[in-house]
Amino acid sequence: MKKKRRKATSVATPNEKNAPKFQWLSIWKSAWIVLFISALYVFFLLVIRLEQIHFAQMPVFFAERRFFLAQLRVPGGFIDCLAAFLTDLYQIGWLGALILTGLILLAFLLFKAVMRPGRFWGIEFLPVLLLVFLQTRFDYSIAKTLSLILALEGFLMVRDAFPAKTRFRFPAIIFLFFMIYLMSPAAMLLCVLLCSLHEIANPSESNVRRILLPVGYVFAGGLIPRLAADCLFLVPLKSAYFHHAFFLQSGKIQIVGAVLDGLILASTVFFFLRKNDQKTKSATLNLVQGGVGLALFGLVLFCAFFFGKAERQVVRVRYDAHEGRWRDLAKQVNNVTLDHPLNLFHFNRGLYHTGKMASDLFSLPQWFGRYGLFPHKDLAYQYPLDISDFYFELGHVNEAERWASEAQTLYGETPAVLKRLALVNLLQDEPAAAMKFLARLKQNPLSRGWAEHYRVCLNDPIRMAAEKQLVQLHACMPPKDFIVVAEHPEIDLGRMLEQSPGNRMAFEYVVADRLISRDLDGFVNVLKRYPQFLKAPLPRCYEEALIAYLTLKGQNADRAAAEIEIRQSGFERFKKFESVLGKYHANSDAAYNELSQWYANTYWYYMLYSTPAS
Amino acid sequence: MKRFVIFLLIIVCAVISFLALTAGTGLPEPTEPVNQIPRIDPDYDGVVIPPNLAPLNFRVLESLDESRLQISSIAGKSITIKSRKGVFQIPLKAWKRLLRENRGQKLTFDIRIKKDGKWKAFKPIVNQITEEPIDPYLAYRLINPAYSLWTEMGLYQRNLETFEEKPILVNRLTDDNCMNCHNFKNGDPNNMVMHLRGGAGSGTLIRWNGDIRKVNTATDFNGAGAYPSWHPDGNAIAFSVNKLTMFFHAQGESRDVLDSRSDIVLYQIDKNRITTDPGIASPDRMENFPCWAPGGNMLYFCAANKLEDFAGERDGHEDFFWENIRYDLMRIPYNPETGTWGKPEVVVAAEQIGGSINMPRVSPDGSSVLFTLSQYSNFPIYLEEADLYLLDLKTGQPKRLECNSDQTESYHAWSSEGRWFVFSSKRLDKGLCARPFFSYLNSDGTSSKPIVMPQEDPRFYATFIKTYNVPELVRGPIDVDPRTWANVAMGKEIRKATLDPHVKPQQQPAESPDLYQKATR
Repeated sequence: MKKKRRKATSVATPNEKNAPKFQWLSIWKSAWIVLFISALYVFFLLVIRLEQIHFAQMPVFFAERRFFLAQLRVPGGFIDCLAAFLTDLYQIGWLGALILTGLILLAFLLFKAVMRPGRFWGIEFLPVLLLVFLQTRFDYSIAKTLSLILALEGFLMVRDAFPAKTRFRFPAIIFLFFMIYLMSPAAMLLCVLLCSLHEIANPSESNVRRILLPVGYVFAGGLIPRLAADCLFLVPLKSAYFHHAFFLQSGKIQIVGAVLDGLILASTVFFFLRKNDQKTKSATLNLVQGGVGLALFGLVLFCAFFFGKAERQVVRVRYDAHEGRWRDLAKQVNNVTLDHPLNLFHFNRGLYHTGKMASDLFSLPQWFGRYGLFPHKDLAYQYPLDISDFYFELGHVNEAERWASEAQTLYGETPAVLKRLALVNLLQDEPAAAMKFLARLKQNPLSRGWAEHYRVCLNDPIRMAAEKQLVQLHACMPPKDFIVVAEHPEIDLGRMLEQSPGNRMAFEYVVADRLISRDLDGFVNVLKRYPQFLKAPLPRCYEEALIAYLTLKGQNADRAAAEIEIRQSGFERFKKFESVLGKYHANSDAAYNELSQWYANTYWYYMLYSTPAS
Repeated sequence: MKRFVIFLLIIVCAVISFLALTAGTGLPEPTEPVNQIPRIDPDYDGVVIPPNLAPLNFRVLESLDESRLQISSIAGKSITIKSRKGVFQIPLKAWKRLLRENRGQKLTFDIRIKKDGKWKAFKPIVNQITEEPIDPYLAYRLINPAYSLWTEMGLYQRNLETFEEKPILVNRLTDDNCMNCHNFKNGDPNNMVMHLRGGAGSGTLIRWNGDIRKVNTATDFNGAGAYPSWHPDGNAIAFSVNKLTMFFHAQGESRDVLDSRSDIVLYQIDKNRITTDPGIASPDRMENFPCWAPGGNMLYFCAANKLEDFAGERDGHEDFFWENIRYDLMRIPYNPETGTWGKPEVVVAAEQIGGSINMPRVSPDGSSVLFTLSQYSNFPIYLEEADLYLLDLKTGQPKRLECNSDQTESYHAWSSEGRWFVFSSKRLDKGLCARPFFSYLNSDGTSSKPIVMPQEDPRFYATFIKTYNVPELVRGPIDVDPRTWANVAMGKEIRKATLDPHVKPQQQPAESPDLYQKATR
């Protein structure tokens, strides 16, 4: 390709004129690049973890005709389709890191080809660094990087492959713009800008052509999206012009994206317009400049790691919860993650799944009260798949289906959602509906095996009976209908428990709800009603709540509650708690410091100090 | 030049080979007759076909190595197709010719399959072609199986004579808002109404004799109009105004809908005025689903007692006994010249028929009313037991139609010639997605086995997870560019309907129905 370009170009690029006079300098450069790329790969693989980006972005990709045709009905559909495919591969972490590193390397090489060589070799890849920064964000699609690559490649084709001063140059370039536009509107705009600058800066062109050609390019670049929106595609004008632009996110202008977009363009223009620098660099200078480059690279990785850390942690928590990695999830409990109600909701789920809800519920600060157990509906509509996961585990399959359907509306036919809907329909004994989701999943290359497995199960009762999770969930499903009380899921859980008294998760959540609501009478009632879940020794939270109940009620305490066995050590701890409080004459404010030092993870402490949002 | 000729020859040879391999050369002689019809998908066995319908492409569900299909009738050349996978895509031209030449005749599908080197001949599938064509276009909304959120949606028109589907309007162009409640004046594409909700594009779009306008039908009496019915004279549209709430079940179909208040109003297009009458907007009743009789002098609708009448105590709490809300079929005389209403009367009482009557549609000849009967409420699409019924207006006797299944049958519309009708059914995937089915009403009032709207790829419905909503048959294409609709919708000009001075204002929400909400992506 490069050889062809060399033949076709009218002016030999300075890069080539500068050909390796000092071989060992090239080795240094190559070494820097290898180091840069290796570090990037490791960073993507171990720090960013692309399988989590995959989870956050929920790409929709199907290897079938209808999907491709639907994608091609909008400008940029081709790149979207390719991006969806590549993002889908992020599920395989090492492969995702390889893909993204490869794309960044490609962008780097293209930037290098676009720019004139100069003294500042070290910061030559500033745009690439910015690109790295963007791609570490969970909400930025790889489509934008592909679009950038397309724009650069388009520009290089115009610069190197189109014969200068021929009659067909202008129409051929306009045609190329149009083809690029079909693949990515933002790529065409960037390509138009670069080509215009190239013509302006091209010394081999006459002054008239140096003005007319850029004007022609810009005019065509402005006209093509307009015509496309008016005649070819049913898209709003904003999308027709700026789809894939870094500064646009979900149709809205984002300041960070706009700044980074501007920087990418500005640095490209700067390097592109600067004068050729043919001076030979010394080895030391080269080393220093390379070092500066590497330092900048490190700075970008550092920024990428710290900027948006909170959002990344939410994604990480959600991902681990969705994948059922409860121990990994537990490692993420810290002051930052606990600030988000969705994280607390998942941590509480994690407590249940690791068998610690009844003992360690108040080891987490239940700042959000009931909303830490059952997210508020506004949050639920933002993260419907998470809510579907929760109800699925509970055996509340209709609600699991409902929230998975909301997720389908929100994210599209993404495999995670389709899998949930397939399983829900299997549980509801709706094989025709389940088969539809399985058939759709089979069109996704990475979900084919999963779909085939359940398709076989669907037709084979013996294999279905071996699906332990589904069998267990089926036993937890409510056999009779009731109307879901959307604002108070704890009421539904109570009803589920009445109908399926073996539903341990429903039991633990109902108890947790009573405790968090400080409803000790309700708590005792639930314990009394479902003694099958109470095995000696009583879990710590229950024990503490029961002691509090008996102390507060005194003689009026429920007799059955009084008969529940409580360990002596529990009473002793409570006595100590009381004695600390007594030391401060029952002034809880005064006792705060000492109690928080020793009793912060107890229910007594929660009762005394917590004022949850609900 | 020489190279070019060689290249051309290779292409020609390849095309000829391909055609030779795929084109039929007649049926192979069977070695083994099978005394049953083959399993095919979609189920096009024993169906009645309009003479202008697109090819009934299908796939054979039997295990096979090779298969052949021969479609034949009394007149014309039969069609023979080969397929290695048992997927038959029938050539459009040959199919149309065969149907055209055999109106009113039987159409036979002879299927043979080869398995383990032996050919098997199944019993032929015999279908019937009718004399009457169906209206050539179908308008519908395509959405995800909706719960509370929406994102992408659009209204589409499908040419039933081919497989061409075109958007009427997609919400990408109107700021992702909600769109539905599309309706036509007797299937006339030049007189169309649709309702958009949410954001700048909110309003009712009316194409009236070619001119498109955006109207805000909300007044001091009513919220924005929902279910429409165009008066046959073209100058007025009856709308229901509803206040809908979705609620959820823990078992069976999750979704359910409660209408807490509804009335019917009449929008007079030429006067840009809303009017009504206590007969169709009584405070003691919930009136819904207006439908004009062909003459325009009678309005059919459904009505139930007001919601408060169903309040009571359940499990120690105040609640509504929603399962007892049942709608009667009613009608009220109307004089289009004077604009006066008569006295409403019950045509079929809910108590009498034992269910809730919804969506009455009077046949084009005015002899019968097609409606949906469900156990309760006015949202049958979420009720599995909902079925289509036909009321003979001469005898006053309703009957359950033969085209029903054990799944939901709901939204329906007549073809203008009065024999064919379309309806939504969820039978294909047991309650997941609604699909448009066509059925033919015989002179004795029986309905034919319905056919699902044919698709070019017979496997289409197996993986298509969007639902077809509110299918309406249209007599021709809606030739308005989607951008034109969008420009009107997003434009600043909106006509605010005035309220008839004779109508007393009442408090109403500005937007209705508020069943779904826009998702933030």
